Amino acid sequence: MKKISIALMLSLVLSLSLSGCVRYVELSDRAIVQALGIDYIPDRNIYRISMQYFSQTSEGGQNQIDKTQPNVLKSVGEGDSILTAAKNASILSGKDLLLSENRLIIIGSKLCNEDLSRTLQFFISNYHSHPKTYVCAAENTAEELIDIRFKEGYVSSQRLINLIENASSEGHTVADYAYQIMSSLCNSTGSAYLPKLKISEQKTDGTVPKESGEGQKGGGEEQETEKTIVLDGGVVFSGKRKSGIIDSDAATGLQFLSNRMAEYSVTVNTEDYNRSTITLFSVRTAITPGFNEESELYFDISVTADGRFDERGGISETDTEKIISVKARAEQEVTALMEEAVMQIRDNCHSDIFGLEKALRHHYPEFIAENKKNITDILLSAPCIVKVKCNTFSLGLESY
Amino acid sequence: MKDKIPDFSEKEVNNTLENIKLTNSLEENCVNIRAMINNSTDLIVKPAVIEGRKIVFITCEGMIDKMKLADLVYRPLTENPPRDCHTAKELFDKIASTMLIAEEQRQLYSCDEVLQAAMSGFAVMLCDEVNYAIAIGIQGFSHRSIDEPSTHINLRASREGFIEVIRINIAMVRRRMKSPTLKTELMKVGQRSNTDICICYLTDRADSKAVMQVKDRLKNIPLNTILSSEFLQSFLEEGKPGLFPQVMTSERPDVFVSKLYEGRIGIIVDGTPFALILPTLFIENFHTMDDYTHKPYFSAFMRILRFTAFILAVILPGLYVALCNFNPEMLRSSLLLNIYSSVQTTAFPIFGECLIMYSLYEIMREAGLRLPKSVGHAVSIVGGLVIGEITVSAGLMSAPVVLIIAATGLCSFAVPDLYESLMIMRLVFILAGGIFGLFGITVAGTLFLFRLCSKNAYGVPYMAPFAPFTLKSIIRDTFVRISWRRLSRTDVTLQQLSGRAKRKADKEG
Amino acid sequence: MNRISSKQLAIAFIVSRLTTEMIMIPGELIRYGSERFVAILVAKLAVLILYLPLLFLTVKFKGDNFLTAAIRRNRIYGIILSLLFGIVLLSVTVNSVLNLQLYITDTLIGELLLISGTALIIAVALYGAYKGASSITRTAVFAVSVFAFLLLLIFVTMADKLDFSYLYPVFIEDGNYLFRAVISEISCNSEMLVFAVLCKNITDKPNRAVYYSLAVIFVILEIVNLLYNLIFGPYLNELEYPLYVISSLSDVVVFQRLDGIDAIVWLLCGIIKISLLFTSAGELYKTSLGKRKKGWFLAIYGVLTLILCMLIGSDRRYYDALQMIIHSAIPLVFAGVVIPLAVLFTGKKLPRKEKENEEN
Repeated sequence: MKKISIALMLSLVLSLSLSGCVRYVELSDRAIVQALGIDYIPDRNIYRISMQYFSQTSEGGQNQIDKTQPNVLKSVGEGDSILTAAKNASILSGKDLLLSENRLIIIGSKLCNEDLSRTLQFFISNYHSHPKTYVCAAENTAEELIDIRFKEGYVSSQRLINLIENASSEGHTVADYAYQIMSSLCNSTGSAYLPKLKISEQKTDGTVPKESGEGQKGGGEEQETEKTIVLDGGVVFSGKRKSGIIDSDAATGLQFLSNRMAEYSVTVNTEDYNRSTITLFSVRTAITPGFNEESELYFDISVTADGRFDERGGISETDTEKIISVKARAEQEVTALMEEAVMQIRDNCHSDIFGLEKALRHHYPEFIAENKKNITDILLSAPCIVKVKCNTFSLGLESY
Repeated sequence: MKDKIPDFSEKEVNNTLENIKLTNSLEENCVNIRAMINNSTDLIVKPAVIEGRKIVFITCEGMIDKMKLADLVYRPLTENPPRDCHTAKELFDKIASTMLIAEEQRQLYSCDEVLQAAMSGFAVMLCDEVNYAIAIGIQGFSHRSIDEPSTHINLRASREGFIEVIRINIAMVRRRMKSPTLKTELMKVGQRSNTDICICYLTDRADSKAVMQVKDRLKNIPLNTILSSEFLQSFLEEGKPGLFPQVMTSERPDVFVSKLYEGRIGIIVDGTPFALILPTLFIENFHTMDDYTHKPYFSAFMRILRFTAFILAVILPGLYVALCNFNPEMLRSSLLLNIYSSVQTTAFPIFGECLIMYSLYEIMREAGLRLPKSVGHAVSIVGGLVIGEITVSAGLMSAPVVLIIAATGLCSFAVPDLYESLMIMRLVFILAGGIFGLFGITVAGTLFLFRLCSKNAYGVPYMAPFAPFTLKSIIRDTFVRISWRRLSRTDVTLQQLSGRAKRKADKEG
Repeated sequence: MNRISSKQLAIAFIVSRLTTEMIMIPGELIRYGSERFVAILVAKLAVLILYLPLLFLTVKFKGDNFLTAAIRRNRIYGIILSLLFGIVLLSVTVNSVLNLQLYITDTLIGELLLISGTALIIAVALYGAYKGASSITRTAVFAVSVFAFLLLLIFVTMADKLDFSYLYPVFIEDGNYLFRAVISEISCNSEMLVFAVLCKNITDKPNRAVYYSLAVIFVILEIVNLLYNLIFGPYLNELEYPLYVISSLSDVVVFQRLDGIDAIVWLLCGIIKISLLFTSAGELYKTSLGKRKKGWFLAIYGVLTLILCMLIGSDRRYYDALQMIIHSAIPLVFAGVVIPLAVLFTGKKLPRKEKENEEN
């Protein structure tokens, strides 16, 4: 029996391997996608995918990667669906696409008007692709952003990822991974937020990364004008489709509202004491729903934070009155940012990115069950009362 | 009638002469003994006369100490023989019963026994008109002195290793275990070689059923010659021989004794410095004697390191092939990009590269092992520099594959007892990973796990105390070893360590 | 006979049940919200009640399974019962093999052919069954350890991604879903079939295997469900294999995602589950026909399973129909409750004298 089973097993394995029943692609025959842009062309009703894939420039005759080069090539494909577009891009590059290293998906402005969840689902359902991929919106087409290549890090897209992560940690924008955006889209309002990228022409002074292409030289000037990519507010989605655009201030307010703000510096310009900067840290935002005397729903949004004077602006440590005044101004500024965000996102774009529904569900689940049909309208019309409280330290000893 | 061509084949000799009793005729006895050994020149028959009686000393060339023979046997018998003996038998009986010639002295009654004794280093004395012989133990064959063992080298433990002489090995064991419960039983195995083996165990620790089982198996070994302890190994293992050793070999008397103290059975085989210990557990392949001399935390670290090395040695090349070909997304970005860069210019697919490099590595290892030391260096240079460096720079192989095979080779030396198993398993995993990716690796791993978990050695599950799970034993002395202070609170025996598991195994039948 | 302890069998049951949870429950039944927490609890209580005939049976016919008791009454009766039981067992096995194959193609190798995948899975599971129940249960110990380690690793690496605001007080919003979830949870307990056959191989009290496994499975399932809710929130409703996606988000030093390791763990567990089902079939054959060896039967049974897998797996409609039947819990209740219940009243105890002789 044993001999027979061994013989059976052997013949099975041999026959399967010899017949080549398991198809695989050699690593060298794959195109390792680094960044990907998707555009929708409504006139022709087709999708256009443009991608940067890894192609190393060797250093010193060996196989070491030259980090001073973009190390990417571009491939483009068009198709009736995202899948066919991706396949066509694969045909153009002559390699099998590997999406696992793709860390950035840029959605073209036209595609933002379509169902975002369908677009993202394609990438998430591919088992090779990584759910920890940043998703951004393009001001115009995604392809024009993909065309720009940077010479930083292993690959060009690293610069963009650094840009997004840095902006997120500095409190300028909310940067979510694809799965978090999908999670956000699954709430009743179908809301989501994508940071918006746009091309900017800047004069380089050595700090702005250069595009790999030739710079446009200004007439007779020593400085060069280079194309670069910058963050400019964000795109808000409601009902899984684009519902509006918000500016940078609202994006910062959103950071506070969604309880993602790690650290934020507020500069207060006072008439008497010049400029003072307070850095807020340990920021905690709580959204608490409540009902007023007329049984109307409202949301109490309270932000508590610790603050530190980073620039004193000539205020003495003992001048408590002035310090409290500056602190109050800082609180007002943050309140204004948040109110601006609420106005732009909820009132103008009818979107609930910062989780009003989640808060309501947490505190009053029965209210949601009772008002299932018109919950979106209720959420979008309920007043939001923003309160900011900052506990400011001076030299870590006194607090005001 | 045609003259029969004399047939000296061992078979015939055995059939006709093996059970011949000694007779009263010295001449006949000598003829028979000579015939049994086919007049072999290493058998020395020395005739003499004591008190007017004809006697003969039979010895084997090189097996006795000639000085002892002269001082302890020839001189007392010639200078001060027993007086007033009327018959040859009376003389011989007196020599046998009253004279203090040597500490080991016994009476033999057949030609076969005489030959056995002579070949074991005894001087056998035969006398005319007497139908038995006296064997005097004056063994004095040359042997290697006690030396540091060549395998299982330790930092702090004893420097003594077993040698090829069974008696000295037994003495080394006894010196370390002066307990009356230590029992040593001598046996002969191998129908032709008649190799001496010694079964050692502690009567109050070892499972008596297991001892009986071992003895039965040893008695029924059908081999003619036994030249090494490994010859016995497969007869002592349960079921058909598998990949993993169920019998441990050790060159160290301290390890041997410690295992006996844990309730195991040890077998010392004459002519080989490697003693057998059984039953053994899988986890013991990761233990060394040093683990018990170092601090417990360090021992735990080393054991975990050895186990990690084992796992890496088994699956790393297979995993590399599987990940590169089927699941590259699991690799870290920078690592993947580096591998991608290095495989761009190579001549073979990754699967092929791995197989070729693995084969080359094993060939180099085998070549280096069998060659004289002076030539062995040349192999290292050829292997390390030429194959390693040139294949990469010439673009024939990618650097990660060379690195992985080298690292795997290094890891496999961390667990020397499992080297043979590792070699085969690694190849299986490379094939499985190359054909089916992680799916293949899991399937191969599951097969090995099923196999390992189905083994029981003398009632003890091979994978104990992990499967069946015995938490108390696991935290006592497996990957971690608790301190001697805590170990001493309970008896330091393996019997106790695997006791529960053993009972379970018994229940499982 | 391959004897095992109740704890060993409990561990094997935990592995088997978790496999079902991770790779065999249709994704639509794993939902965000409190319903699933309640469904798991209700289902576990229901399963405990469904186990009662089997538990009574082990007490009444000490050391015997339902088939032995039935055969003692009448061999033909026993064989008919074993055939009916065997059909359910076979359908569960085929469903498990196909689910595992689907999981592999969804996660590890997209291009794996149906025949290659199913043939390899069946071959390895058969080998395990051939080696015996003790070999499988011991292997299950390693599988459980690996799963525990993976879960710990996921918790550690995903700690910062847990969003506790996704939790809200228990509130049943969808009663229909709750009912379907409970039924599905009950149908996932194919271990009941294994227990019905292998209870006679248990050396100590067989009931313990049920109690231990149900308690541990309940705790693990609730923890895993909590993890799903805290990480995905409403997005959980869209996912087919949530733990796989969570693993792909986990980043450890060596690997930037653990999904491959997750897939390996469930593949190992899946093979153990199928191996247990094969072992049960082998024991069924041995008991009903009074044979001592099951090697050839297992080989034939394996080939039959492969053929059925090829037939059902080749058409999605057949596969969906099989899934629907299995997840209706009817086959499980029939084989795991109705048949033992029938034997409970009609089976025959071993006469005391014969029992004493057997023991001697």
